[in-house]
Amino acid sequence: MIERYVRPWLEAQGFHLSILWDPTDAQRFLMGLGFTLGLAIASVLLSLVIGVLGAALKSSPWRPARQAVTAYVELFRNTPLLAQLYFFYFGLGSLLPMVEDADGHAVRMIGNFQWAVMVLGLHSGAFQIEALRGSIDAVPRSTIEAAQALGLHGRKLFRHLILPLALRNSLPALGNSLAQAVKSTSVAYAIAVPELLYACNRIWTDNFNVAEMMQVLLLTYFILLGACAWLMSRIEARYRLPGYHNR
Amino acid sequence: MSQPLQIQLEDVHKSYGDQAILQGISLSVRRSEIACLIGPSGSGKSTLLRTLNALTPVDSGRIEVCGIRVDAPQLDVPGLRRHVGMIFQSYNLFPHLSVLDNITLAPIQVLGQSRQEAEAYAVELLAKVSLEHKQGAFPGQLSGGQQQRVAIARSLAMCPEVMMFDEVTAALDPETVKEVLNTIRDVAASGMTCLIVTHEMRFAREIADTVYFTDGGRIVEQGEPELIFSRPSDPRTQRFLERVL
Amino acid sequence: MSPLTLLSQRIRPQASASRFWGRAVLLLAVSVGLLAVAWAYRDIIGLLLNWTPALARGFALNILMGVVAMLAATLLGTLLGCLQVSLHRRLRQAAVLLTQLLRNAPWLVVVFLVMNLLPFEFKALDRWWQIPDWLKASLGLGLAGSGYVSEIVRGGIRSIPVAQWEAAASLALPRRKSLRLVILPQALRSMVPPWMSLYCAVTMATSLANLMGVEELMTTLQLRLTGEPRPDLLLPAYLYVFVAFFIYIYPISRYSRYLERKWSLNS
Repeated sequence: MIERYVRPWLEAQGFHLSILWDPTDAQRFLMGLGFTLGLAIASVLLSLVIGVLGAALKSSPWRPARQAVTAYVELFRNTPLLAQLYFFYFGLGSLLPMVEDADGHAVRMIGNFQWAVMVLGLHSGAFQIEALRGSIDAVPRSTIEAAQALGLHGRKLFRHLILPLALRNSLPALGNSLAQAVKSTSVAYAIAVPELLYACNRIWTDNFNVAEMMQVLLLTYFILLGACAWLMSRIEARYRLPGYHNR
Repeated sequence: MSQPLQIQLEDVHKSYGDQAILQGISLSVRRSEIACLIGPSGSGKSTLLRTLNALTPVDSGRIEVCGIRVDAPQLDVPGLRRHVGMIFQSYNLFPHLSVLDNITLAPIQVLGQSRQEAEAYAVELLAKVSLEHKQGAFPGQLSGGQQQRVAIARSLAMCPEVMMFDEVTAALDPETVKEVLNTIRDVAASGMTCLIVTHEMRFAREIADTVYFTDGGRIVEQGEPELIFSRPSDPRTQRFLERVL
Repeated sequence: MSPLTLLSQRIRPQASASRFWGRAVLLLAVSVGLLAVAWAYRDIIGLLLNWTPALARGFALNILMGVVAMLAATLLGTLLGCLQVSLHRRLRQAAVLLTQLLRNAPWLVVVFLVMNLLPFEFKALDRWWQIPDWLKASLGLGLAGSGYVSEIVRGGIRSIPVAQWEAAASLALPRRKSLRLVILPQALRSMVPPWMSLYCAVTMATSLANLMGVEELMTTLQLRLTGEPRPDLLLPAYLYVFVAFFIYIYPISRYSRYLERKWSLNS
């Protein structure tokens, strides 16, 4: 139906949107969307875990632990994401043995999608640690001292008091990270992960409709990021402490 | 005393949402007249001043300043503001410019004066407020009273026809209040039309030609200072004066 | 004291002499270890040192691209930022919309967009001018970064108290002159740290030009690597890239954080 009515009208305007009627292109596009979402969600989860662990280690009494975290954060924040991706995929990846897949072909042990998730997670995690540290610092000292006076120490103190309050403080920064994660997934193009940019690239190379696919691509990202923003505002509303955030 | 009318307000109304600030203000000020506005906080005195140089638009009423209809929709706002100078309670000097640059900025940029002209006049004005040695200082290095005097010089540099003072001594220490009041006295004595909102009752009594008492967005009573201060007719005026004097 | 310091407090004996010797031994061990590694990999290190002049030229292109991109971003972004506080409703809405669009597009996509849509040569003043690839990539990054500059400028302008606008207005300064002569000079200081952070991000993003075939650091490195099919060269080679960027970016990043701390304490 779309083929019969929409296509001629669009083409009369000069729009060649093959993803609407060509099943191959449509499939490529949807797969790209799926990979982008998968990369974004997986890397955000990983970065959250790293963020919490890193923030916890930063408050450890053991100085080497704190220094190790600082080194990791500075390293990943002050080098390009693409360089990190290449380092892990080509550099470390070449040191790993090849394994056999189902068809008996030799493939890398860790595939490009897995590497992309790991590197994106590590990269984003460095920023998360900073953001979480800032939110931990925002927890009032007096509240912590009160908890310590009640006998809460160390890991229990962190888990039951500091972490919940800090996570609430960090929701805006987390929202930012989520948006940043969605945008960063495009860099996985470099190692041939078939995410949105890669898919659209293939589509416009085949169909010569660069301008249209660019618009579709940008529009898709805006919608994705808009959905993230909406999601974050729902989460913030849900976890808002009554009266606490009234400034 | 039959100078032409320089400021005329007729039945001016202004509300913010459902908060009515000005509820039918009518007053007129002649050239070289000194008018003082007194009254409790929130009675609309500051808002009244701000309507005269179009910082605050009015909802209804007629306002004419120096022959310019301020309530007209096609008002040339910068043109109006060349005739009216305003001094704020919080001085509002430009912190990134020296005292001299603060004073010469507007004459150079708006009146098109040359730097030499503007600086010469600025130094003259600074001498009048006894701050000529502070030309190169920055606002952060001055006391509150000094900053306020620089603010007055800054407005005078534009050669306005009307000067408005919005509670200019309210944020100052008692010692420095005096030096600023003296400056205002000098400005008034030079024949400038002045509209002064103040809590300094003694000063108002001494300097004003006409005193206006406002309350709840209306002018309750007006007249010569002797009349208002010693024999106020309206009970609200009496209550206010009892509280502050 | 931050909560972190409270948590990491514990009673520690002040044995300074033994700590000094412990540290000295550790330092010695680490140095010996590094020298051993360097000796073992001396051929790789030699190779990388050999390539360094070419790699340095590539990195210089990265830095050039970063500067050009930041220049473009600052010019466009400052204009957009000022328009975002304009009193003209249409202008303001357009500026806000454009800023949001630019901030929500992945940088790689914007670079792709600009690279594909800009012609590689154009006619002006009676002759054909070439736009080299690296310039196109820089302009793409500049476009991407301008959204961020716009927000920085808008934030800076809005951080200036309304009283300053009113004082300038009372002196009959029109709005545009007030913005230029009174507001922006004061806002400039608070804008510097985020601007420097953006410069770091943009400089690192110039590595994306590698995907466009621009001969910057990583492309140069990859070209050399294809001539040397040694798998154990890959790790040190990409480590080299890390080190190059880190040496350039880290000091700038540290300095901008120092400035931010210093100025927030002052005000």
